[in-house]
Amino acid sequence: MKIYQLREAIVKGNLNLAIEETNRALTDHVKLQELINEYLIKGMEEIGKAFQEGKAFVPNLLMSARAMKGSLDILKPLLKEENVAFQGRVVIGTVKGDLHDIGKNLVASMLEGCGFEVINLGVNISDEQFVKAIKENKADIICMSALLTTTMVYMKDIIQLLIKTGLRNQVKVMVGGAPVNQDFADEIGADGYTENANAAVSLARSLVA
Amino acid sequence: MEKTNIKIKDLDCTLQKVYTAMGYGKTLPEKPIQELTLDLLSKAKEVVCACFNYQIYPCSVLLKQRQVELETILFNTQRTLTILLDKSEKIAVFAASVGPQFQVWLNEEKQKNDMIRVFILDSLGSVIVESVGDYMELLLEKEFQQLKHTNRFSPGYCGWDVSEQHQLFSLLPPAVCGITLHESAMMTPEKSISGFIGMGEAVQTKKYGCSICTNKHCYLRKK
Repeated sequence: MKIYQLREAIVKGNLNLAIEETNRALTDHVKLQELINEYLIKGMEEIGKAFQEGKAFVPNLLMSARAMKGSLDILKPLLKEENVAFQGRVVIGTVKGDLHDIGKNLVASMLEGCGFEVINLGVNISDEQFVKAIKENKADIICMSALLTTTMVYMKDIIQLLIKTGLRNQVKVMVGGAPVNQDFADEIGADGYTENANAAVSLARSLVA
Repeated sequence: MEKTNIKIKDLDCTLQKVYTAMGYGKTLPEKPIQELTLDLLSKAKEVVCACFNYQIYPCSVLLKQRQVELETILFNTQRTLTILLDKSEKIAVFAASVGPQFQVWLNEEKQKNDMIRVFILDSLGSVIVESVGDYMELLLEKEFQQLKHTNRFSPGYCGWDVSEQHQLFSLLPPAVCGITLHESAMMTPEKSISGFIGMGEAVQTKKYGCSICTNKHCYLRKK
């Protein structure tokens, strides 16, 4: 059995090595599901664990996510052929009135790197825009972000519109941003809140499991 | 007082501070991250053209009401900040910004969607604007040598509602430092700060410590 350095490439965030090893494994006819489960996801889990333990930092997470995305980009066309399911589809955006996007984009990058299909709507997104994107993309999860106490209240309006349009039972709602916390998430009826991008991936996985 | 065209060389903006803002404590990032940070800091030296402005107002600190009054405008600074501003005779209402050129650069990097560069640049911007705030405080100290002063306090922290940015900005010149204040109280350029500095002979410079602040996600928070 050949040994591939793909997991190490993901942990170290080495994009070139990740691409190289992915191609090598494909040439050797390694099964796609095995590549994803035993190398890519394991690698991301390892760096995620190191982050939670304070042994890795946000740039490490981002580099790992980039390496994983590089590998997934090679696998994507083949995944469609073999009908291997992705983790899920996420619609993400910063709510209306708020133009902050760094945290939201960190979460988007991590989700994308970890095998979710991400539709990043951008900033200043209205309730109608969120609902339209959920319908058009048949999203499994909606992620809403806000950095201000004045704008985070708009998340409730979006959830209300999801209820009104009959979409609430079809989509899981995740919220995040500096002023947001679990109490607020509970109060507005969200399915989950996390305080960092790494935890957001774990939550997203658990919500679509 | 207003000072424009502030360059990085005028500021105490070190690589270590940027690493701290990125979440590294005493640990140094790996070499590629160090090199990228250094590269972005070098470019920032060309791009950044920062600015600050402060206006001095007599004030009344209303401890019981948890408010501060300036020019007949009442600010609901809440318990923690009102106590910290106690005995202030004057308040310096301030705004500072890294400048619009930095925002243009940040937007360009965002368009390229390289999150590692964006994350480092965002951290760098935070450090620069706080350094502009420190620089401003030094000049404030020089101008009012006979007075002690508090730390900088901003709407959005310690219960002071961020929406009071609007009345705070009414005490500053229009379009101060090129900052646009949005309806939500957000400022652009994103890397801008605003707030109060209390001044008085009997003012105590208490630490604006993490133990009293509710912002658990602040990049300066001591773990």
